[in-house]
Amino acid sequence: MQRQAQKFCALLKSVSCVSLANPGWDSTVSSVFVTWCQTAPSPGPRRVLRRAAEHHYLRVRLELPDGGARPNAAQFKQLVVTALRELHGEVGAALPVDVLTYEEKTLSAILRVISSGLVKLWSALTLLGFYQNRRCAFRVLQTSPFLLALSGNSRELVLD
Amino acid sequence: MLPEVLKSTIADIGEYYLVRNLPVHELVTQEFIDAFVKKGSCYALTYKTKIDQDNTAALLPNGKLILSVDKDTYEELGLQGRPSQYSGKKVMRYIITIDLTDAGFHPESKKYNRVLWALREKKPLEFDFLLAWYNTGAEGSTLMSYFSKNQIQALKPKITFSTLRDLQCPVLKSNDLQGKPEESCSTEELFEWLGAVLNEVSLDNKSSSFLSTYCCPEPNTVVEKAFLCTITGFIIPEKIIQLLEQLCCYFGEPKLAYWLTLTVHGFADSPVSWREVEHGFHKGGENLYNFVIFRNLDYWLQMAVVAHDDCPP
Repeated sequence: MQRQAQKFCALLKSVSCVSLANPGWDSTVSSVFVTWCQTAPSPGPRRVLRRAAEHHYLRVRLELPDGGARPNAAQFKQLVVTALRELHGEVGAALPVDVLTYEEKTLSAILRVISSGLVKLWSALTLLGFYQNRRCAFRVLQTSPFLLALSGNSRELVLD
Repeated sequence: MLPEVLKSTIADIGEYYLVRNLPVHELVTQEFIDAFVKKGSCYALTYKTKIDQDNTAALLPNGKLILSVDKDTYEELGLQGRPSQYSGKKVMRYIITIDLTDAGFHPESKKYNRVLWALREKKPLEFDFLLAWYNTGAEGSTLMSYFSKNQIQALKPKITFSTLRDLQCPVLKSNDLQGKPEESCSTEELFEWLGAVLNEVSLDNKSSSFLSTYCCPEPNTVVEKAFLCTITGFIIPEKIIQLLEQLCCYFGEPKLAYWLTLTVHGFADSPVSWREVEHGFHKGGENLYNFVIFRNLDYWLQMAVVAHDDCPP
């Protein structure tokens, strides 16, 4: 087993040396997702998905003036739907948006939206100005076609 | 329970250094090249610089120094470079690559003196640098003593452990990337699920739920205990390979787990993503990869990038 593990690791190192031609690379591609599969002893298939992300994810924070009521999760979702309705009408409001996480204390959330609706959601959030007749603003902190990417943000790395 | 050997590998993930206000010309001096670049793998990346607005630099382990600079700096520097491939019609960013290990790059050569003059006198560039050095032999000076005149700080990666209980996990088959209904999940579903777990997203929603309709991909099994370890810092590939080897050895003895994963996030503001492939920020700058290692030591390597990045190798 130990030997097998070593062999495996040797294979692993070789992976990084394999290069493949890039057929017709297009700089407008919004995402690339590559999967290498290694089933010992023969190298397995490689699967490349371009522009195939079904969803986009946004990490957002709601800014509200101090004091006053903070929305709970359901009210937060309602606010997002209201923002969509204000800018894009009933059709916009019907855009499926999921509130994956919401933290009431920091008013931050992770939203999931169909990739084709990203611009609609983003614009609606940006242009929303009021929550219950109080000024408010959405800050889009991070956006990605990969939910995993939102779990680490090197721009937030603080070393002191 | 984690095996002790794995724990010690994690604890020994190595330290890195933060050097404040380090002039870039210090990295191209013969003294530095001989002491570090040629004697091991030397890594450097500018800290708190944004690739889409600031000047950025990185030193790769193959001895190449990459400067990604705006148009004004490029013209002032007067070093040969090429336009960034993501700058569009009006080029506002240039990439300069200097091979420090090139045979023609020595104190007597014109090129060496030109580079040193440009970085020291023509347009002095200064950054906060993250530095790491890996060499197999123990001799020689250390980065800490070499940069003792500068403001240098040794840092340890931040390590957090957590145990997740009663976690819904997708069922995977190593030889089936696309998944089959009722049998196994696809690689994309796994990737999304991993993100959900790391972001603490609830996995059991109903399709009629108002808040969120995300649920764990089908088919899935409930795992009583899952172990999650996060290491944050400037981590070099050699250490990741060590960690990966230890993770493979984890399956050396029969285990209940079917698979395990190792995810590595790249710095969003690094001038390169894979090897010397140019990297840009666009909307998020994410570049990450993930290993899924199965019990029979088959593995998947998933690599993800977004716009302003080339297809990974």
